Amino acid sequence: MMIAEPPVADDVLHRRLGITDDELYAIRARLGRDANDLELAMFSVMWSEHCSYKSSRPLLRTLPTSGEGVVAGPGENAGVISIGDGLAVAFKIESHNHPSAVEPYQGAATGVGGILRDIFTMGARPIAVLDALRFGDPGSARTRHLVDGVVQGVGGYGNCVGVPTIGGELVFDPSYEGNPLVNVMAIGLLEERLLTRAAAPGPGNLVVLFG
Amino acid sequence: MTVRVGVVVFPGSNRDIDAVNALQVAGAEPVRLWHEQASLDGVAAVIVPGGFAYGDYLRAGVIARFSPIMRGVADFAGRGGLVFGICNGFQVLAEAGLVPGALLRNRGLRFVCRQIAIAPERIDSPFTRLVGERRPLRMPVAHGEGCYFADPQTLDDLERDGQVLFRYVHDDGTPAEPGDRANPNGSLRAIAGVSNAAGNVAGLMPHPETASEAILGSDDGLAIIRSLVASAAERQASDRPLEFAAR
Repeated sequence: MMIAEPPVADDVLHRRLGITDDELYAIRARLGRDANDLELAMFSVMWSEHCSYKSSRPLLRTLPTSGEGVVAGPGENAGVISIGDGLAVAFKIESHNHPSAVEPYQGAATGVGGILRDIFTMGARPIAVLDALRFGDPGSARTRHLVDGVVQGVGGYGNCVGVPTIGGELVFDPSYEGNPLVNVMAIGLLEERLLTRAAAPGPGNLVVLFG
Repeated sequence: MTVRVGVVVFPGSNRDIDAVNALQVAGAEPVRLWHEQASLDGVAAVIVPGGFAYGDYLRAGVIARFSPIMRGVADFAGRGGLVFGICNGFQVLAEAGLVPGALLRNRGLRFVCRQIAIAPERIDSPFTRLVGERRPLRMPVAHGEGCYFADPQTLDDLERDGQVLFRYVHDDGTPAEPGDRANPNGSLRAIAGVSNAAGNVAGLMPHPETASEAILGSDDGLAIIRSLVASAAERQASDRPLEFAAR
């Protein structure tokens, strides 16, 4: 089928939603038609860096994912490594940058919530949280506001589930003035025999939607 | 016969697992008591553990006091049963009126999580009888609302009647006044734990159950848990009616 050239005005919907012209082509090719406004908004969310890691994925692919102790690797909710005696640790790191720039306490808190979810869905009990944070000029009022909210948000969510923040790292640099980086890591402990995988193949499985 | 001690579990409890572990270390049989049940399943004592019962969104402990299990706990306490509230459990007992006073927001307005020291004011209570001597006990605090408050008359009455069980202390054992770092939350008269007038219900903000093994950084709290277990064992062995009919 013929696909028309996209309009070029800067204020067209897909560009305002952060979708590039190339991505708009790809969406049309998949649907076989133009996406409506709602569909475009959904693609803009699901194909955002926040949700799809489209920019960082090529870099993540360069990291090692196999080895003697690896029990679960990419594709699962979290990585799991055997530590012997029938025990294993589950761990994962996740960014919650833009949400924390908009509302630092809740942005950071829900980052912890998301990463804890990835740990306990593997059948592990979360035992520790770490954070790696990047902020702009430490002298600016906005940075102080962000640091205060993010640190309280990470600790506050962890406290509610009884998981301590045991360490982390913090860097201030002007390049982070616009968008801070808020990375949180959770570590869980599990008995290897209780490992739960994300896949539930086969007919007859019950689907339960929470929330 | 192993003494059975209940551990209340609310949605949002998160130190119940520590209480269960400490009870096992102390030689008791822990029995988890779900918040929806009013029966205490015939246990000889009850621990109301730490956490954030029902989320504690409104005020710590204020919703939990209306739960079915707290009806059972209040009935049990009224019949002389031993009840020990730790951290959030203390807040719940205070909201329920089972121990005097209130736990206000920390004086520093921040959640405080660190190792502190407390000293028992009494070593003859059901909760401190095996502590041995009045020495500083090291254990962690982890709370945002732990500032003990009561009006001056009530505080005087508590002191006179021997209801102050524990105070926050400096390393030399002297009480840590509000504003001192050794008093983590600004509690009036350095009060960390109190009992009711009858002496069978007590609340404590710090966590003896997480200071119950040397590998955890301190086992100073175990003497408190062991005191509770020993007192419960005596009551279980006696003919005192400890179960009740509330449903």
